[in-house]
Amino acid sequence: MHIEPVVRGLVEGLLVDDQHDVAVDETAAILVRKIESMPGLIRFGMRMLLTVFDWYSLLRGGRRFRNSGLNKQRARIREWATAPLGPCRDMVEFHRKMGAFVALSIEYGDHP
Amino acid sequence: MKRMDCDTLVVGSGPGGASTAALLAEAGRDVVLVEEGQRLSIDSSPDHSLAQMDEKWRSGGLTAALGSPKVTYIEGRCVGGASESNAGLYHAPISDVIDGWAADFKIDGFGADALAPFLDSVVQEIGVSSRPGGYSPASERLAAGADAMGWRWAEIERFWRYDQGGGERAVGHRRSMSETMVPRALAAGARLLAGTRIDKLERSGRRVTAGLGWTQDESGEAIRLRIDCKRVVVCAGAIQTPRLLRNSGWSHVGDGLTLNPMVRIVARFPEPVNVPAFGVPVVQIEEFKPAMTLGCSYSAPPHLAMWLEGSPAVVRKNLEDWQRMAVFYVKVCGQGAGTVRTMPVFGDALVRYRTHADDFRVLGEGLSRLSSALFAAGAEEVHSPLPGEAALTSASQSDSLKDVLTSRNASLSAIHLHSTVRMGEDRRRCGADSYGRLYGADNVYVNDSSLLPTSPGVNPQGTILAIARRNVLRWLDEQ
Repeated sequence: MHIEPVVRGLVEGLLVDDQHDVAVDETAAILVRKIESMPGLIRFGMRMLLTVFDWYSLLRGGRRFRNSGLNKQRARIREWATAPLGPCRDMVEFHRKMGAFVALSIEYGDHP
Repeated sequence: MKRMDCDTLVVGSGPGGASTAALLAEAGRDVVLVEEGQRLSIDSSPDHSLAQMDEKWRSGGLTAALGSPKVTYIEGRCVGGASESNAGLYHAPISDVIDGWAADFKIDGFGADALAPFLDSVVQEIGVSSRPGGYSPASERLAAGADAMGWRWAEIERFWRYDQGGGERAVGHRRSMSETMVPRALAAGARLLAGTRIDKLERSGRRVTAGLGWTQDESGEAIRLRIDCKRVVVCAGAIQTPRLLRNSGWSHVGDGLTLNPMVRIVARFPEPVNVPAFGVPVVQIEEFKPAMTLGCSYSAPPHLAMWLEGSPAVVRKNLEDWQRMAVFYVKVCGQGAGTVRTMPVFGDALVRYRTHADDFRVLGEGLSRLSSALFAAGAEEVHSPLPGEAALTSASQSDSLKDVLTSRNASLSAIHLHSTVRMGEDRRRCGADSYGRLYGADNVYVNDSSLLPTSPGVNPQGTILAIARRNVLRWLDEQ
């Protein structure tokens, strides 16, 4: 499965607000590259989680995550951020923390 | 297939491997030093940057020990290993810890007094210094907080050389392995193979006859590699060393992984404290070592954003004041333990770590102490490490951090990993003898952080370098 649309949705849902621009496409592309460089088992797990997350939104909201509007995407992210299963929470945490690091690195440069 | 031969094959070029290669080569041994990562200049990418993560850390810095919770960690993967990108903090080992290792693990010829001359040599040869012109404002706040609480603190020296006359903005130069021991090894005749991975050691009974793996040809294509050798020294770090040894049939290594779990918080002050040009803050609160270290992290906006909780708008609002904010950490001597195993399908190490229940309490205690010190130093806000929690606004709220961490909500990371091939004569608990010779093998040695019997409770690079030097000089004496 192509994970970039799901990662892109996570970046938008987790990092975008009304007042600030975020380099969503560039951030998502770098995150996908980071995922592809993970150790094999962790990479496999992350791809599986992203796939399940994408289809979970279809069950919960009628559309896959990648095709959902921003509000529904944020609702699905909130559900997984507080899910009983650790790997679900870890998936959201990874995209929030690493996404913030990448997006701000793009915005501020490496040394402000 | 490319074929080579040598007297001694050294796998891994971090502090242990680079020292080993240099000392053996200078003693006239024919050494091949193998490093999986690339050979890069020390300033090929800015410190603490995304580019540095990609260039110099294994898997772009996204490695984790599985468990509840997972613990993220980093491994260097370039010529010079972690010394190319870490803070380079030099801390002499704690005498009681070193003497305790000697007694508990029955390490011959070891102890604080016995290790001292090797530490002196490391300091002299590589270079350790303090930052001229004082330290960063964030470090000053941490020191002021410690003073106000009546706690000991110290400026930690670094493996660093500062320019004369650089003043308070002196950046200086990292005294990493690629700047020190690797050039020495090459000058003494060692051959360096970067971009080369040893996957397995070929055995004939108890003896290794060759290292098998892959390297790159002139066009960058991966080709298989065989290096025939008389002895092997494995220095690939606490994860990759046991992975290679287990993959080669020594299944008694890879248990007992220790690490130092860390949590971070962000504090805001009334005045600017965050000056990234100062580099890594160098003040640590010493009062609770070795059980607990309180310190300050590099805190450029991308780093702050990682550790600020809240909605995107809240994080952005906070970042408008980034010069007034800094990231601080609590690091503890973890009481948990982990394992390193090989993964036949994926080819990576499978790392698992079980955080001890008491570690959450100690980390929480550390957060509470750190928060108290930061408020005593004038902080106006301390941000909770947990999502959905309001920022603390007074010292009296610091106690609320004591019990906040659980296996469900803690976001733990670690920088220092050790103890997967512990040294000592206690064969039930140790993978190698008192000088790093692998049990069950005649010509295989280990000489890196894997040998440390437990977490040393301080930044370990100086200890690793001293032990590596001690072991090599012993091997040369024996030969």
